Amino acid sequence: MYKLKINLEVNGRKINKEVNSHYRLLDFLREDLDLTGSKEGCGAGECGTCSVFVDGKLVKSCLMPVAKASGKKIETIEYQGTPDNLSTLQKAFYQTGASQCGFCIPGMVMAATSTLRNNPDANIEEIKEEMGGNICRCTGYQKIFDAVELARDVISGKLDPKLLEQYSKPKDSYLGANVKRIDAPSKVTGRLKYAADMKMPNMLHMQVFRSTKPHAKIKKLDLTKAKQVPGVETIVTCDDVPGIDNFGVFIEDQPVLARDKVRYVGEAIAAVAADTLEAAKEAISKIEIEYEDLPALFDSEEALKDKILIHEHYKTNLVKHIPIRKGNVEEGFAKADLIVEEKFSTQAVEHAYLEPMAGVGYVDSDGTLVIISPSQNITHHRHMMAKIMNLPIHKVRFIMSPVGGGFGGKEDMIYQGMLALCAMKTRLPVKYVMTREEDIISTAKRHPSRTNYKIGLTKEGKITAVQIKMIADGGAYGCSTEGVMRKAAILGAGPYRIDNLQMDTIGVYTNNTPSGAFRSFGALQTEFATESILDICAEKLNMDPFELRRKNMFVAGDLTHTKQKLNSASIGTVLNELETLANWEKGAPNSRGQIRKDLNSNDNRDSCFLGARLNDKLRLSGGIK
Amino acid sequence: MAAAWYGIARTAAMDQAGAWAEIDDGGTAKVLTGVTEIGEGILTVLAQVAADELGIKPEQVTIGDNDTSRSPEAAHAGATRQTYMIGNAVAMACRNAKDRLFSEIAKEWNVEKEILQAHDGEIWANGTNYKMPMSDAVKICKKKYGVVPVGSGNYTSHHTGLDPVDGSGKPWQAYVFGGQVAEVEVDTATGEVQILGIWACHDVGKAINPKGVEGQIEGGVVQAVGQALMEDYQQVEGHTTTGSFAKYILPTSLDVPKVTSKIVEDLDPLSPLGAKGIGEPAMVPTAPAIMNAIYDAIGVRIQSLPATPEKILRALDEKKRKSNGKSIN
Amino acid sequence: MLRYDNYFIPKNLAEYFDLLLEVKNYRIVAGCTDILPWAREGRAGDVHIENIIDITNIKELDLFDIKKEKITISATTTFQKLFTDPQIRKDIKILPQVAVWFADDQIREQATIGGNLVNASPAGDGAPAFLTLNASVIINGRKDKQIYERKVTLDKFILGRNKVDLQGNEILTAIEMDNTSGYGASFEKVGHRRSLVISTVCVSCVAKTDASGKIFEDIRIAVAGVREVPCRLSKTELFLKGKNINEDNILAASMLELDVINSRSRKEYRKEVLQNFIIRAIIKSVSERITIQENYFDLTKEKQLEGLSV
Repeated sequence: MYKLKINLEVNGRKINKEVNSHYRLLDFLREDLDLTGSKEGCGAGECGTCSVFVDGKLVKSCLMPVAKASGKKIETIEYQGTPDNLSTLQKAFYQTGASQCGFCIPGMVMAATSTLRNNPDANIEEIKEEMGGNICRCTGYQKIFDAVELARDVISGKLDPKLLEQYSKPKDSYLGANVKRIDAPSKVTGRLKYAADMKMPNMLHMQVFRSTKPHAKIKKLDLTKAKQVPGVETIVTCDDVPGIDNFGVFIEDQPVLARDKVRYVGEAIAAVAADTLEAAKEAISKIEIEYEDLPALFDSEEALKDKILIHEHYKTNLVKHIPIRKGNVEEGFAKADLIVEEKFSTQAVEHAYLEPMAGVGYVDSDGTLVIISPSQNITHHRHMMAKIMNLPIHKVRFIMSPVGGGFGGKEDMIYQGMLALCAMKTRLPVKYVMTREEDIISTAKRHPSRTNYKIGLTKEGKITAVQIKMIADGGAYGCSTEGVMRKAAILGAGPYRIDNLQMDTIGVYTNNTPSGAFRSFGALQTEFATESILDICAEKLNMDPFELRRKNMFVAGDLTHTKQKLNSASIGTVLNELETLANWEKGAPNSRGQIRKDLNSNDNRDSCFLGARLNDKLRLSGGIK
Repeated sequence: MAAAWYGIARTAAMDQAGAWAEIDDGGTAKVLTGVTEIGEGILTVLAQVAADELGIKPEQVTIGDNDTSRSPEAAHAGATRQTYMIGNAVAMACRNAKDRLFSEIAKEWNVEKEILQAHDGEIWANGTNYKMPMSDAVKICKKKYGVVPVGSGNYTSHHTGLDPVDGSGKPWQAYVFGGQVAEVEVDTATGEVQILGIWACHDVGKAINPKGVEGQIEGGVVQAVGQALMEDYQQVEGHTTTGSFAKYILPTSLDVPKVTSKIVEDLDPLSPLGAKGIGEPAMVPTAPAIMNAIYDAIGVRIQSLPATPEKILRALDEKKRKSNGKSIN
Repeated sequence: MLRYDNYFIPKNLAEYFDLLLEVKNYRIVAGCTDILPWAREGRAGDVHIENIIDITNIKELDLFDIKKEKITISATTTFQKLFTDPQIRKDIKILPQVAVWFADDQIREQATIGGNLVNASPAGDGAPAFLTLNASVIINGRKDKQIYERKVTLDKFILGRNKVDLQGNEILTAIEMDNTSGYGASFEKVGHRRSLVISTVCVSCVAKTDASGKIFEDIRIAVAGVREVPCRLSKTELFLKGKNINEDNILAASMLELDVINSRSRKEYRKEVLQNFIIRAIIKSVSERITIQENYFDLTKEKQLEGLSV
């Protein structure tokens, strides 16, 4: 590899080093100086987790070749404070609860620091605008903004610094207390090490060769040229799996590395472990493969016809069908004064946790296989790994590394098997970090859904019958499809007394990216349809939407859709509190329209337009509120 | 507006969690359980639970790492289960440890164990003058009586599977309810929707850390905003066309509504802590509330997510054409 | 991943031209905010270039000259400078507006206006704004050991998607634009969210009213995102110049050149938004002198849909 010499100052230290010429400033900081507080959330300048100061200006270090930084003064998150000596801003983040998974937080602290340095009096609009280049997936930004405003006011003397120390607590209990997050200091200072930040001596780097076909047989896989790349220690394929080769959250139908055929674009076929990332990548580029295309399925309804099979031994593309039957829907519709039939659909959604998947695998001194990864279910992963690697379960150890966002996306054991194979074969520590792009195309998504809905109500608004059919695209592998269908079915018709219900949720295999667990797991899709159609009904009945819900909501003692007796149902209280909280204007759901009477309250924000920092009213009041 | 409900912990299958606790030197504590902190704040919640049960401060609780070879099984992070399952398991473990300590201190003071109480680092016997710091109590327990105050606990949530024909069964023992109201502004020149405010009311059972609950609601709402308006994972013939954050659009600080939350505490009688959960329920009512608000504002209903500016403008045009008596193109 | 062997940072034009003679297989970079995201999976993939030549330190490119009639700024001026410079904020109002819509603060500190122009992306925001400032680009090249300079108007510089008029060893060194002191300005852009967004449609407008504030003395409108190459709406401008500033004239103007759109996708949406943006941009760029109600147009556009063809 080519090197170049750079001379710069980092966090007050003068550095004179030889560095890989193609490194970005981010790589130099993380790999050569072990300043891992700056993260690579995307590597393409979109997420802001790599933000550092270069000569006082905040830049995205994933977009700066290291040569550009020569002769400059760099300041990273590590320079802003330490866990026992936090800057005022960091204290404010700690105080307001601004850090959740923590992965975006170093970048946010840097962006906030820059904002307040440039403009110590920045108002909320100016703060939002200046921090618009940093993405957070966990917090919804609110407590981050609260922290910046709090810090601004403490620094300017407007607020007492004591506000950064105390939290509220009931007199005799710690339950109900706003105790400050115990992991915040390590997160706001960028000191917490996530999997991609970990380094072990003699560590190898793993890269993965992935399918470019949605459905194809693997006719030939030639690793010869790849194996010859200097630095390559091993290349593993499905042939290296010693035990029973499958994993999955509900249905274990996915091999660690593709076996005989590939079922989606991005499926892993082979993994290379080499002494540098660059060597591993080069080896990947030299793997030769011959596919035989198979007809592919991209539409769930088409897939249900079973003309093409994705998993031959299952003899069908149906992953799971969950039925719920209560009462008699024909009779129920016969009693209805109003029948509404509508279709709804939701899209596939990417988890976009800011921390791309990463992990380290090694065999420890007593022969135990150890996998360090931000897995959401190390218990289940250990079970599956023991079976896959043909090891006794107590000789497999899963250690959870700090999770930089999960949302269900880190439940699948999508790469740990490959790490295990490489670690066992080489007896060296092996590290794998997905790029953002790799993560997006290869890991599970939220099930896209299509729902047919028919609902019958009396003219007073009482639901007499509901018929729901939801078809969800499960993608190439089962993952959590079964559980998602189940939850969608049980909860889908909403918190309402429905005597006559016919619910069917159907999950199907296709050659699309697998669908898996994602926060609210199917319930979001079906309840979306229910709550939308209820408002349609409310309009037709000229009823206030709250009233329509009240007419039908569960009360204690009611039976759910699965005929379970509820010992309590707080939906009544929730609706009442909500109506008051939101200052709800009563009326049918088409009446508020052009002018709302309760705008400009403290509870909503101004219409957002860019240009807050240009100090002139650039936005006319176009549009309808 | 939109309402919602959700079940707590594993669906239609027994759920379980185990934990160990030790009251340690200095009146601190160690808690070990298979807890998976994914940013929701569960570590802090557990520290509060332990502190409350043991009578010390949350800052004095150390929670051990999640490691299949070192910590007891507490199953996974998901299904909005950790506060419920692991919070309760830790509470049980702490009660067990505290019981050991209290037995020895009761001997030390020659009082009934039942009148002993501890909070915030102090232990005392109700109705007497006996009082001492927890750090002293631990020392006495260990050095004088030779008892290390350790404890273990388990929590089970009794769920049944579903009947394969009619789906009947008891998939959960605890349910939560919620609702949200959305206020939107639609720019009819471009079809852009801005969500100005979301009001959220959620029953979480006992809210152990209210600020943490708020944080979950705020985060869940914004994720749902993303799905409602701008996120769309697309594939063409199995190939992803939105393979980077440049193409897969996530909400930034400029896209988020102000979120006002209210917590309702309908305590779960089967949960020693009374707590239930919030992680997933927080985002269920948001998208329909937004679509309902858009309808309220401009009279068009989007039934297929996401509601992009293009879909909105197209729907508005169609509405205008319909109302002018023209046929739809 | 972008792999390269050597990274050169020439200090002056002579060194730069010498370098071009010595190395083969090279790429010229300025801010690097486009090339690094490009060399990733889903786009160019792993890319290996032997030599990178970084022009941001060339001393002849250190130019920031604001005069009464014209401003001349170096091609390596960052977008953030267009946002923060007090003189630009005061007199050339279109530029900070373009800047605030461009990516985010961090990227603006690195991204250069020259890099943006040379990339010539159809969605590029810099070009339409510069077009409304009657920009010309200043190009340097070297022939027979002599460094020469030539000037080209911006509309002739951009030849097509990702194509500009740079021949041989030529380099874009500076951009010369009108100083629009006394003009109002407006920049309209829509994408899928508020910040860090690629344009679906963007309109740039600068306008000056006469002393009474009732007549369009000068107006310049440029559009991008809807066609291969950004352009001025000269018919529209001609129509408005000298006319009264009122709703009817603005509405009529907005319908004149909607056929400039030649995007391959989402044509209907772009057309509708383009017309709305033209109206909005005109209104806002004169808003310091005269107020026009925007909701007038919602009603009249309904009439449009009925009878007039758009």
